Amino acid sequence: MKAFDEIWDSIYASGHINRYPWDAVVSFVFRHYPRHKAKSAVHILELGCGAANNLWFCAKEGFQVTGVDASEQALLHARQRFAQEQLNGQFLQENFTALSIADHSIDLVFDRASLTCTPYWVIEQTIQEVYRILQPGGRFLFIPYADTHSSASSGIFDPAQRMVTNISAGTLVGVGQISFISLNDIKTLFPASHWQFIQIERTEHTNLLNPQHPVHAEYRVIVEKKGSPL
Amino acid sequence: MTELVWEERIYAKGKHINRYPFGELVSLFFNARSQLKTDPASPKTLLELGCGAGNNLWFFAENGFQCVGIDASETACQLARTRLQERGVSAEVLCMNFDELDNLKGQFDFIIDRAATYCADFETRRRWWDKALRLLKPGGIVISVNFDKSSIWYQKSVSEPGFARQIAPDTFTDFAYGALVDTGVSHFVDVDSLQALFAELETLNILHHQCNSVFLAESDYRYSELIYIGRKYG
Repeated sequence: MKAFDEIWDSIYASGHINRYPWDAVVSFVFRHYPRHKAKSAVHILELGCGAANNLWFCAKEGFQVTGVDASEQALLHARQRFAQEQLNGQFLQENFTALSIADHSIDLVFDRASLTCTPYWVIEQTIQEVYRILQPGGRFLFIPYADTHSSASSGIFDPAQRMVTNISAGTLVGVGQISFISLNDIKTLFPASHWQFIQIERTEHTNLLNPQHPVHAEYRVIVEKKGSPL
Repeated sequence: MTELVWEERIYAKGKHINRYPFGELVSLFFNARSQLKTDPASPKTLLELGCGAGNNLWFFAENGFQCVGIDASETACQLARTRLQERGVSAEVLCMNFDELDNLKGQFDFIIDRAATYCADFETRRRWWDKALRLLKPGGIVISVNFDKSSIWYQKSVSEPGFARQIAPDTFTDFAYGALVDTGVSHFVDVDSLQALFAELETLNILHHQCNSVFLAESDYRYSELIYIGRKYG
C-alpha cells in the first residue's frame, strides 16, 4: 500500500476533470470562514485538490487558496484553469504528512475524499499535520467514505493497512485502494485533547432500481482546533 | 400560497440565496445527458422549474444548453438574472407559477425540478406535470428531487401532535420546527407515488439520498430525498 496510489495520475491524465465544486465544500466554506478578517486574508487549504474545482470556487469568492496533491497531472490542470481565469492560488506537489506550510497559518482545511484513498496511518499522521498548520479555532472538513458503503464489503481487506483493494462492486470500482471509516474511527482520530467536534453527518445514496440497492456512503466531519485564535 | 411564502419569507429576506449548483444535480445531469434520446440535430434546451436564485441555471447554460428558468418569486428571478450576468452566460428567467406553464412555449430536452414541485399535494402536482410534460421533447429527460416518507420530518408530521398540519394525503404545512419551518407546503412521496406522478414516463432510475447528523452540536441537519429520473417515450 502506498501513501499515494499512482492510479490517480492516470485517472487525471485520462480526463477525470471535475469543474464544479462539491456542495458540501461550498456550505463548509461559507458557514465557517472567520468573519473578523477580510476574505482576502482568510487562507484555505485543500488536501488532494485534484483539478482544483473546489479551490476555483474559493478563489472566485476572494479567499487565499493553497492546494496540495501528489498527482502531477492533477496540478497541471489546476494551474492551467487558474491561469485561464486569472485567479491566484498556490499549488504544492507534496505528501500530506509533511507539508511545507508554516505552523498556525491556515484558517480552513478541507479534504473531499482524498485522505480516504490513503492507508490509515497516513490519515492519522495527516490529521496531526492539519493540527499543526491550523490556527487555533480553525476548522477542518474531513469527508471519508463510510464503512456502510457497499464497496467496503466487495474487495480485499488488508488488516495491516486497514484498506480495501480490488473493489468489484458499488460506486468505487476502479479508484484503487480505499480506507473506509467508522464512527468509532472518527472519534479516535480527533481526540478531545486537541479537537472539538462541530458536526458529524453521514450521507447515503442508494440506487433503488438496482436490485442489490448499492449504497454510496460518506461522513462529513467538521472539527475545530482547540485554543483561542492567535 | 407557497409561492408567496418563498417570496416574502425567504428570498426577499436574503435566505436561500444559493450561488453554486447542487452537487447531486451536477452528477445527475452529466450522467443523464448520455441517456437523452432527443433529435440530435435540434438545439439542446432545458427548463428548470423553480430556479430560485439561478445557482443551477448558470451551470446548465455554461454546459451548452439554451435554458429557461421559471420561479414565482420576483426577488428570486432578479437574483437569478444577476447571477447569470456575473457568470457571463445567458438564459431566460420568467416570473410565473407552475399553473401558468400552459403559457410557456418551447420544447425541452431536460426538465429539472430540484425540490420545487414538492410544494403541493399530489393532485395539484399531477396537474402541473401534465402541463410540464407537454413541453418535454420525445426522448427528453425529467430529473425530479422529492422529499420522501422515510424523512424525519414526515415521521414527525404523522406521529407528533402539533408538529405540522395535514392538508391532503401525505401533504403538510405549518411545521413547528426543523428544516421545513416557514417553507409552506411539503408533499412526501414513496417509490409508488413517485411512479404514479410520472406514469407516462419510462423510469430510468430512482435514487434515495439521505443525510443524517450523527453528532449534534451547531445544527441538526437531516434530509431524505427520492430522486426520479425518467424519459419521455417516442
